Amino acid sequence: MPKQLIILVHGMGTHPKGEILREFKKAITDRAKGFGIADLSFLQKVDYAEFNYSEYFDAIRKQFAENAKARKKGFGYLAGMGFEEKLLDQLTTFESNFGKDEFFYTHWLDVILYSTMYFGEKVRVDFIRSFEKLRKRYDHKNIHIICHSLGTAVVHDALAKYYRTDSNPFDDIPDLKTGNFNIASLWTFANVSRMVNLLNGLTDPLHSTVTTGKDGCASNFINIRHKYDPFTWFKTYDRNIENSKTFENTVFKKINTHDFYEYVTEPRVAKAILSFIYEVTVNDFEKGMADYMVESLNQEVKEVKGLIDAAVDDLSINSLKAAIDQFKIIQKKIDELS
Amino acid sequence: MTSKTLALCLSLTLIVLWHPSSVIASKNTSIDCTVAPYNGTLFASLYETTEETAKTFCQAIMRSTISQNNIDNTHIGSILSDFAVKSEQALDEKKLINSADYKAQFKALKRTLGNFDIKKIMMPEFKVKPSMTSGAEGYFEPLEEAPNRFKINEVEYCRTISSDSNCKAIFEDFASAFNPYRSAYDNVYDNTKLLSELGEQWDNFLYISKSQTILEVWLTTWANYRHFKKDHLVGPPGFQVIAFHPQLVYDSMSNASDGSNQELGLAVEWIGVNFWNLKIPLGLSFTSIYTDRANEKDTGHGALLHIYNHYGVGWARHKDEDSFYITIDLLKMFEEKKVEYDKYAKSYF
Repeated sequence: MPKQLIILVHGMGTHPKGEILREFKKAITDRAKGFGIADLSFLQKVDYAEFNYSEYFDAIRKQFAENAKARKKGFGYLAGMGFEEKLLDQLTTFESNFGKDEFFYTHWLDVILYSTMYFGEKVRVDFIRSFEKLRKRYDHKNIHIICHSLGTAVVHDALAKYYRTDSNPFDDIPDLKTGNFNIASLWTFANVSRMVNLLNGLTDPLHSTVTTGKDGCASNFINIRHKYDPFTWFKTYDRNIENSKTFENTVFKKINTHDFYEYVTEPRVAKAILSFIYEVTVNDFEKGMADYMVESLNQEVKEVKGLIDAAVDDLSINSLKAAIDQFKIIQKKIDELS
Repeated sequence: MTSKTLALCLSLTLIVLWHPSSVIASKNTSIDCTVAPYNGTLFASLYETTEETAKTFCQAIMRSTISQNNIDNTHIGSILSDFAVKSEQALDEKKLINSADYKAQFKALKRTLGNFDIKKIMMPEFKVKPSMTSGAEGYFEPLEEAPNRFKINEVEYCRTISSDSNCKAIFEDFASAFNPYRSAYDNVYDNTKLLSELGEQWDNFLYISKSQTILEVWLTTWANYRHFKKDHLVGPPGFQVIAFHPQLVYDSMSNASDGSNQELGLAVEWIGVNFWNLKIPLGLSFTSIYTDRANEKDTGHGALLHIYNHYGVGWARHKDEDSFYITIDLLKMFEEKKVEYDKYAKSYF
């Protein structure tokens, strides 16, 4: 009988290959220890695979920057030949910045490249190619997908295009029939698929085939969000799905509530992963929960909580621009506390 | 002269409309009727029924490739429904009702299989998985109307069936005997080849198509919005938008009065299109060029023709004089002895 397989998909930003897997294993190990589980051999009961699109996006950013630099060099030959040097410079400056290791270029540019450009479809095709190879080896019934942040949008959009209700096995469309090939479970951490959907206009995550049962792609769906994660309060993913579970964390362990490790180590979430995927019984949940609460930052971050509570309750924030403006205010406060 | 050049550009663009990427092999041309093996020990008898059902079902799939109207849905439905009845009996015979109340799941299974429709095919599998709360649960998926999954209780009775198995393992044994009935359906859904072709199309596009600025990538995506918005995975765009694309060019004006016949210049492609995947890839853009000549008008307007995605030849009208130019990467092709330019072209493309 094939083993269970976990496929991990990272979020925005630069993620070297293997990083999300190390982070996930460390989070599960740490929390298991918190629950008093000494024997960690369960980690070997499951196989792991990672879908990494970060390296591809990094290559694209660098290629844009290199092209711009090459153009700049070329235009340099025109300097002093009656050409306005400033103009020549401006023709290339924007893209030549893409190679910089600044937050905008390493994080938000990923969102732009994925959501508004054809690179998004290439990433979806690559993900499904990788998924299909693994499906052949492990069988869909034994696959668990765990994704974080922008990875939730990548996985959502790819699966929504791959699992189709009117699939025909004899046409030239690579797809699977909904319901008939459902994976064991889909775990979405800090689900931003609805926010990204505003930009790419693909199938609405609230009505897509990324659901459970006969019209879906998974047998179980688990959505995990943090109430104070700024990425999840705008266009919050909140779909009523059979055989699904939603975990909402309100505890601050780190000022960065979007952090994948922090998401996984939340005791209720870790317990669900341990029991559902690894089939490990958690006997001392209360101890783990008490340990978890000891290091919380709830007092220190009251002001950030207040800002986010107000933003979530503000019905006027119904556009992406308004949300980004509010996000900037909150991010500033978070930076002050960091 | 001007009209002839333009006509040539346009006609070359329209000559070749053959588009290799649209030719994709169909998903499957033959049906593999191999039945997945049974890995258990307790339901060997049920597995024999499974094999028979699988063969009958495979023949139905074969017929459906000729025409779905040839399929007698009612007949197939009754065979599958009988199979569901026999499967339930197999569990009953082992008295597994002592561990789990699976009756509602089987009722829904019989209804789903009995209503078989090749056009809206539903092939339930039996699954045993841990529950989100505790213990294990069993269920068929997909079902037309799914009742609650049944909880598998670990009872001492299961030891009477198999001394080295718990109840959950016995239900897993059942799954191994039951699920192969749909083997032909699983076999037919092999997307490896189609996905590999799709991946190759993308690799090819990113490798050979015309280099684009981020604005052009965005405009190309926008112009191909309907293509990418399709409800299934698609290949690369059929054409690339050219917009505000700056080019370093080598310009030639044979009648330049001051003798500056050949000059470096800057060309800006305002708007255009490049069909990157034609048999002979071609593109055309409306372009302005700027060169610094003492006695001629510096600015000229005209068109730039792209060939094989990387090479460009253009024409511009400077008030009373015509000039012709090539993009710098063409210099490379002509083996000009300008090492620096050669380096530039290399790093650009």
